[in-house]
Amino acid sequence: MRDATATARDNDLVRLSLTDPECFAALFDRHAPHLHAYVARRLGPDVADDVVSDTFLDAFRRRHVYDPAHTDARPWLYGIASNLVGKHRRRESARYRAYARTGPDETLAALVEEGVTTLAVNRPLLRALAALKPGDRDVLLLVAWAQFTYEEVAVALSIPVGTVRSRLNRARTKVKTALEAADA
Amino acid sequence: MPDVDLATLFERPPATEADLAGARARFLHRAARSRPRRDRNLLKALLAALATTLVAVTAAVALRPLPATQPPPKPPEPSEARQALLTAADAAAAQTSAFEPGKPGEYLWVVWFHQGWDPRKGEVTTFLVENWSPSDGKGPWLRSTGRHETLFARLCPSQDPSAWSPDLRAEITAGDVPGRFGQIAAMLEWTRFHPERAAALLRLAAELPGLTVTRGQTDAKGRPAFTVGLALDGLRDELVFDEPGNTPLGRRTVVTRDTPQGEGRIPAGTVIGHTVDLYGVEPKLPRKPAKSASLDGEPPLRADQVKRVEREARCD
Repeated sequence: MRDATATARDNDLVRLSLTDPECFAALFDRHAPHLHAYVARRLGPDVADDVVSDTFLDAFRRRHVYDPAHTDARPWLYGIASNLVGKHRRRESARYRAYARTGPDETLAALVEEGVTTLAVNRPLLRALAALKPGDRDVLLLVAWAQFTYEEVAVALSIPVGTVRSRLNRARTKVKTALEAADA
Repeated sequence: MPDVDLATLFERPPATEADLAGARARFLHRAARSRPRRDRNLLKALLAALATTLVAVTAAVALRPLPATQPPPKPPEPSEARQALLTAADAAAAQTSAFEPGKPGEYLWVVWFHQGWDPRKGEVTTFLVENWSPSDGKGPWLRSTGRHETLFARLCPSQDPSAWSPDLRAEITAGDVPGRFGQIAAMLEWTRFHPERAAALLRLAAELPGLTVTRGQTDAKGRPAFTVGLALDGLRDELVFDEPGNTPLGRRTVVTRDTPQGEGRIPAGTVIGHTVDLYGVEPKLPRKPAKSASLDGEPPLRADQVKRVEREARCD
């Protein structure tokens, strides 16, 4: 069975897992490494462990409603993961702010803007990410970090492609504006 | 290049089998407990398959050859950090009477010795940063790096003694431990003339879990020091204290693993941050320009080359 699952498409694995749960293990092996990295970038590695296990548990429970037309299960899995990440929204924003934090310390903030210090080139970017609406941030990061197409993001988040475009455009504009303000 | 910066932000490789062992174990455990009885037979097969993989992963991890180098030293107990912070708080509190915070209209002058990462050169650069802040919190304040001067219209509330709350806890707005630690560290930098507030902040920091002490360090100026810090995702944020005086010297970030930065990387072991150098009370703001000198090997600028800009403070 393992040899067969190694080459099977995701939708076939999900279908087979309805009668042979062992097949679902192949989905974990196939997608968990990148999904874990994606979630770890958003929430940190410790929380990523929980989110990944919860994602696959949730997916396993809902496998009977999986749309067999989708040969790639990544949008489905990342959509579930995005919902779970959303439950840690405060933590995610706090994580970005923790890295971005110059706190109330204008000394560091201004040095950052002068481009002479630190991890700091990214700090305005982090502040901008923390300030995005959660839905906009989901779209932006699925594109930037998971390399999803607009269509894949639409499937993952159960929204129209047009909404993906508008959210992405809004998120990119806000990030660009924040970076330009920091450079000014 | 926001797209490039975003694409490399927190960049990390796919998780390894060892990284995923914990997630697998949780999945197995919770899946086994969460299914209705009628489905457990189906689940048994899945769990058996995953457990087999997990055993293989565990064995693979266990059987990997150990590096020839010595194992890393055992991290110190967190309670040592708590004790160090409480000792530092006591030391700060004992200094209260030795400080003169200045009269209304005067300025508190603090010089920081700063080490920053210069992405253009790909190296650590060192320079002085001078702050002049109004002792009564009223009016503008000035920061100079020797090449740039910024006149801020006002202090942020956490920098303004007249705006400080009697309930310090109410000023700590960050929710998680890294956020609270970072906020306390930032607030601590504005307590050079207010040791009683420094003591209170250090006592709050002592309540945070996960902090560790690193002894035998030096600060950016080479003075004996120890640090109390928190590791987070390849970085370790630290408060730096005088050894053995226990007084706060500054803060720094140690890069503990190679960190993507734009199109380059900041190598592990890089230390950035700042430490207090000089401080005193000044009767007024300096005339343009301030007399700070660059330490990055370049000669100080002439007066007409230093640019002073005015802008609003941004208070997060």
